[in-house]
Amino acid sequence: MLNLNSVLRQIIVKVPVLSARVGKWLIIPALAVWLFPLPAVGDESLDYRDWRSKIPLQPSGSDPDQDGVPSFLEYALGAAPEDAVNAGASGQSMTFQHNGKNNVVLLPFAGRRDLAYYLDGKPNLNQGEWTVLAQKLGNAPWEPVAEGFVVDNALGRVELSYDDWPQAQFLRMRMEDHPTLVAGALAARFLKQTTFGPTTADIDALMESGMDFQGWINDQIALDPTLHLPLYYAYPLTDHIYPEPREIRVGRGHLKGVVWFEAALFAQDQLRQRMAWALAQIFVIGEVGSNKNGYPLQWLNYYDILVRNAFGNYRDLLQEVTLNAKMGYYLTYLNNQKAAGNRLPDENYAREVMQLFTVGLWHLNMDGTLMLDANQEPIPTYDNVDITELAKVFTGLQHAYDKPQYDTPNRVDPMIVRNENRHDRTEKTMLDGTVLPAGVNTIPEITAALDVLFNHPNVPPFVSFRLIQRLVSSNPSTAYVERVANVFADNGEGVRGDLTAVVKAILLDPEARDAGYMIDNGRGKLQEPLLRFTHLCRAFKLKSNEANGNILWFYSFEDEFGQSPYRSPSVFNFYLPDFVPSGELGKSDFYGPEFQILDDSTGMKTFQIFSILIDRGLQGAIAGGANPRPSLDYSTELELSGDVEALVDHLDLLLCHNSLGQNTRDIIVDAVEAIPSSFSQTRVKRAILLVSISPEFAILQ
Amino acid sequence: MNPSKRISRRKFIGEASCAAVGSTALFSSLLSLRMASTAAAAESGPGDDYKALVCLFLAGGNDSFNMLVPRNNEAYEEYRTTRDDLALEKTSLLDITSTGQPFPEFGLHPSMPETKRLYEAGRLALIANVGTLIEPISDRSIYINNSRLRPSGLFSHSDQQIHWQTSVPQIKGAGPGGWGGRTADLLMALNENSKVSMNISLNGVNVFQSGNEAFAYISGLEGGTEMVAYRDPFEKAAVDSLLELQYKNLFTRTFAQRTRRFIDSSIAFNEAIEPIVINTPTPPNRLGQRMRMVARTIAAREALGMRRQTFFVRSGGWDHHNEVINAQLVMLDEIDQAIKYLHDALTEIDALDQVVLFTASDFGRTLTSNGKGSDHAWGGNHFVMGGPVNGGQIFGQYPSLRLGSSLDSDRRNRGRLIPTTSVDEYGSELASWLGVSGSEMDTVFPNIRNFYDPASITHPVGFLKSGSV
Repeated sequence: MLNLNSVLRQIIVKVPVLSARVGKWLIIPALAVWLFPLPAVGDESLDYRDWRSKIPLQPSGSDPDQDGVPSFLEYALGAAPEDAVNAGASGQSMTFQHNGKNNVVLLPFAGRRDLAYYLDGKPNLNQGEWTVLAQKLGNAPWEPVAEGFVVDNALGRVELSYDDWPQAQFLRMRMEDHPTLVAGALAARFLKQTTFGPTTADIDALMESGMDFQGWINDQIALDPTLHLPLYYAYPLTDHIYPEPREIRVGRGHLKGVVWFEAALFAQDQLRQRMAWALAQIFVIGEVGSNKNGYPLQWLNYYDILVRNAFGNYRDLLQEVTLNAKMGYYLTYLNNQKAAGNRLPDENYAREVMQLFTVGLWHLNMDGTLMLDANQEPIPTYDNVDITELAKVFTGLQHAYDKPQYDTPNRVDPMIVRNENRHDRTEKTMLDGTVLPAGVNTIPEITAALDVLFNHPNVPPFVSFRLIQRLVSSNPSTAYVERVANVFADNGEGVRGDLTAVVKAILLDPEARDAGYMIDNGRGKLQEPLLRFTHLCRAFKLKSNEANGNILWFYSFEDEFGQSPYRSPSVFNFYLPDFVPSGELGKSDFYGPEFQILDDSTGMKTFQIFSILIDRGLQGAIAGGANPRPSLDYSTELELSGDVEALVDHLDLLLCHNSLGQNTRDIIVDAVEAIPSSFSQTRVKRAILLVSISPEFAILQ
Repeated sequence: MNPSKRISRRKFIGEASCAAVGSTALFSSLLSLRMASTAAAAESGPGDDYKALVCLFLAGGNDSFNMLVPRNNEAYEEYRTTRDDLALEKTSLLDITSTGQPFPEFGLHPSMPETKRLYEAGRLALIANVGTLIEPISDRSIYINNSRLRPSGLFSHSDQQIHWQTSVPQIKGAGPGGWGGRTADLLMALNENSKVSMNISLNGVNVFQSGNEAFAYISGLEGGTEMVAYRDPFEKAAVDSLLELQYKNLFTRTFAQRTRRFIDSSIAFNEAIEPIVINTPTPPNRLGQRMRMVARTIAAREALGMRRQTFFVRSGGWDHHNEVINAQLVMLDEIDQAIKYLHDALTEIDALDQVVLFTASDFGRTLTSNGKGSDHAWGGNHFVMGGPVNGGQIFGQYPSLRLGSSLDSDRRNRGRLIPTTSVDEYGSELASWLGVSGSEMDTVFPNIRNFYDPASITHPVGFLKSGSV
C-alpha cells in the first residue's frame, strides 16, 4: 500500500520559523505557479487513468502544456483534464498563512480518491530525512502522523505549530498514485458492513462498478432469499441416517448452527443474511430458556421469519415473531390464560415486546437521545400497570394442531386459538392510553396491540439505532440516527417500518460511506468474533459441502467467542446495545457492545480458533473429529509469498480494508520475511495469523 | 453530550428485570459498595486473610434423596415405599447421625465412605432440601393455588441450572449474572495486585462467576489458555510489537490494550501455578484433575496476589431418567474421591481453614420412579466441606418423603419437593464468609430479605462456624 520511501511526485516549499520571518515564505522556483491558485473544475469521480484518457488530443509527455506543473500534479490538485494542456490552469495549490499564532497550510481541494497525500517537514533542505507530519487518503480528511502535530480539517486547512515542530522549516507535499488504495478501502469496508466478509472477487466487482453501492444493494435485495430450512434438508448426511427430527450433534456442534454457517459463508444474498443476523440479535431466542433444542426444524423455521422479512416491513416481522410458538415458549406466553383465582396472566412477553422489540424503557427523541422532563430526568415509556394490562392481551395462544411432518408439539406453524375462553376479553388500556375494547378475540386484539406499539414514536429511533450498531458503528451520531429513523417512520411513500428503505438509509448515509470516518479516531466498532471468523473463511475461499465433498461442520463457539447462533444466554442478546466498556472508551462515553463478550478467556480462545482455521481448516476445536474437513484455499496468497510487501498489501485490503498502519505492516513484513521464501505456505499462514491478531482487523472503522 | 449514554447497563437490567420483586434494584450502589469494601480490605494486612469458595456443580440434577437417606425405621419405610425400585437397601447405607432433625439416624450413599469420614471428622456438613425460591412457599396448597411467586421455568434444566447460579429465579436467563460474579464485583478490589481474575473456572464460561464487571478466568487441566502466536519466537515478538504500538483510534487502542492484558493474565497465571506440585495422589479422572488445578491455584495464592477467589468445577451427566442406581454407584464414588482429594490436598498446602467447597445442582429429582429412573424436580440435598465448616450435622429441614406430603408440589404426588432452604440462604452464608457485608447482601441476593434479615448476627443456615464469618 503506502510506501513512504517511494516519493512519486513532490512539491517542496520553505516555510518560516515562527519568530524570525513571520509571513515570509519561499516557494521552490519550479512550482512558482502556486502563487496564483485557480479553482478546481475536475470531475471528482474520475481516477487518474480516466482523467488522462480525457485530456484533449492525448498529447505525450508528462507536462504537455509546459507550465512547470506535470499533469499528474494537476490531477492531484483537482484540475480538469483540459487543464493539462492549458498553461494558465493547474488546479488548486497549497497556500500558507499565519494566523497570529500558528502557521496554517491551506489545501482547498478535497483530494482525489485514488491518491495518498503527505505533508512532510524538514529543518534543512540539504540535510536529514523528511518527517511525515500528516497524511490524507483520497478525499478523507487530513490525519496527523507526527506526535503532537495538530490537524484542524475545518475548511480543508491543515494547521500546525512550529513550537512543536522546529524541524519543519521546509514543507513538502507529496502525492502517490494508488489506484486501489482508497477505492479498495471503501469497497472492502462496505462489504464488511454488508456481508459476512469481503472476498477479492466482491471487492473487484464493486470497484469495477465504479463503486455503485446503491446498485449493489439493489442487486442484493432482488436476490431470492436463501432460507435456512431448505439448506437443512439439503445437508449431505452421508453415512448419517436419521429419522425425523434429523438432529445431528457432534461434540458441541448442532446442525441448525451448521446451517447458519452454511448460509453466512455461501449464500449469495449476503446483505439479507446480515440483516437477519442483526434482527436475530433484536428478536432473540436461544437454547438456554427454550426446549426442544435438538429439533432443528422449529428453530430454523423461526430464523427463516427473520430471513424472509429482512427487507420487508417491521410490522409484519413483529406479527410473525409474536405468533411464533418458539417465541411463545421462550417468553412464556404460549398457553398463557386469562386470570382465574390467584392466577394472573404471564407478564414476560408483555414486558419484553415493549422493552426489547419496540419502544424501549425511555421516551426517545427522533435522534435516539432521551427525552427529558422539566427536571431533566428521562421519562419512562410504561409502568408496571401497562405491563399487567398488556399481559392480558397475550392470553389464549396455544400450539397449532400437530402435523405428521413436524415434531410434537407443533412449533413450526403459528400459534392458534383453540378456545377463545382462555383469552382475557376485558377492556385494556395500553401504555399511550389507547383503549382496547372488551369482547375482542385473541388474534385481532394482539394485532391491534402490536399496531399501537409499532406506531409508538420511539420505534423508529429505537430500531434504527440497533440496526446501525450491528452493521456500521457502535456510536452513530445523533444526526445519523435521526436520518435513518425518519426513513423508518416514512419511506417517502407514507410507509412506516419499510426495512428496505431503512437498510439503504443506514448503508448509504454519509456516516457509513464517507472516507473521513475511516480515519476518525473516535469512531469504530469491534467486529463480532463470529463475523471475524466468517470473514477469514470467506476471504480464503472455504468451500461448501457440495464443492468440497467433505462434510462442513462447525462446533458452537459460545465458549470461545462469547457468541454463537442460537446460543444467546438470554433474551438480552450476547451484549447490550448500551454497554460501555471500562477504561478509555467508557471515559469518553462511548458504547462498545461487542466489548462485553471480550474477556480473558474469549480474548485468547478467539485467536486459538483463528489459528486452527488458518493452519488446518475445520479441525480440532472448530469441528473436531478425524473426518476430512474443508480447509482454506491459499492459491492466490501463495503466488504472492515471494514478495512479502505485496502479500501484506493484499491481506491489508482483503481483511483490514487498507487500515493497517505502517508500523503494523512493518512488523508483519519483518516476521514473515524471517521465514525463507521457499517455505511459501508457512509464510502465508504466518502473515494471515498476524493480520488476524492485529487490532486493525478486529476494529471496523 | 448524549443523555442516553447515562443509562448504564446496571440501570438497564435493574429496571428491566426487578419489577417482579418490587423495589430491589439489583446493581444499584454497587460502585460505592465496592469502594467501601476496598476501604475495609485496606484495614487488614495483605496476604493474611485469604479465602476461597469452590462451587462443585452436579449438572443434570443429582438424585440427592439417594445421597442422603433417612435410616430411622418409620422414615426409611416411607422412603422405601415412595422410591420403590429406586430405594437403596438400608443395610447398604453408610450410617451417620445428626442433631437438629426429627430423628438422628441417616445414611449416606454406599459410594461415599470418604464423605462419611469427613462428616464425622467435623469437616463436612449436609444441608437438606435446598432449592431455588423467590419467597418461601410453605406447603403444596400455597404452591398449587399460586399465591406465592414461583421461580420461572421450574423443573427445566436450563432454567434451574441458571437460577441456582443467578439466585434471581424470577428472571429467565443469565441476564442478572451469577451470585459468585456479583460477590466478586464487590470483593475483587481485595486482589488489587493480581493480574488474574478473582474467579477461576475449571469448566469454561459459566453464569455463576459472571457479574457486572467480574468474569471467570478459564483454566484447563494444566493451566490457562496461552496466546497462540507465542509458540513461535518470531510470532511472539511480532505480536508483542503489534500490541505495543500507540494506536490512534480509541477502539483499536482499547482492543490492543485488552489483548495485552489477557496475555499477561495467562502468563501470570501459568507462571504462578507452574512450579506448584501437590503430592496428594490425584484421582485418575477429569474431576480429580480439575480439583488438582484448584489446589494448585490456591497454593499459588501469594504469587497470584489473591486474597479472595472463587472456583467453578462442573461434574456432568447427572440427569438420570434411567439407570439412576447404577450410575450413582460410579458417579458418587467419583465425587467422594474428589472431595477426599481436595480435603487432603488443602491440608497438604495448609489452606484447609481458608477454603469452603459447596455443591450445587439443577434440582433434586422426583421421589417416585418413572420405572427406570427419576425425573426433574426441585429441592435437593447438598453438602459443604472445609475447615470453616460446622461439620458433622445436617442443616435445614430434612423433609418427609411420604407420598403426597405437604411439601410435594406435584398434584400427582410424584414427589417434587418444595425447597425448605432457599439458594439465597445457602449462598448468602457462603458469601458472607467470603466478605460480603450484611448491608451489601441484597446486592448479591436481591430476594434475601424474603428469607433472612442480612443485618442479623446469626447465620441464615448455620453450616459455617460462627466465628468464621
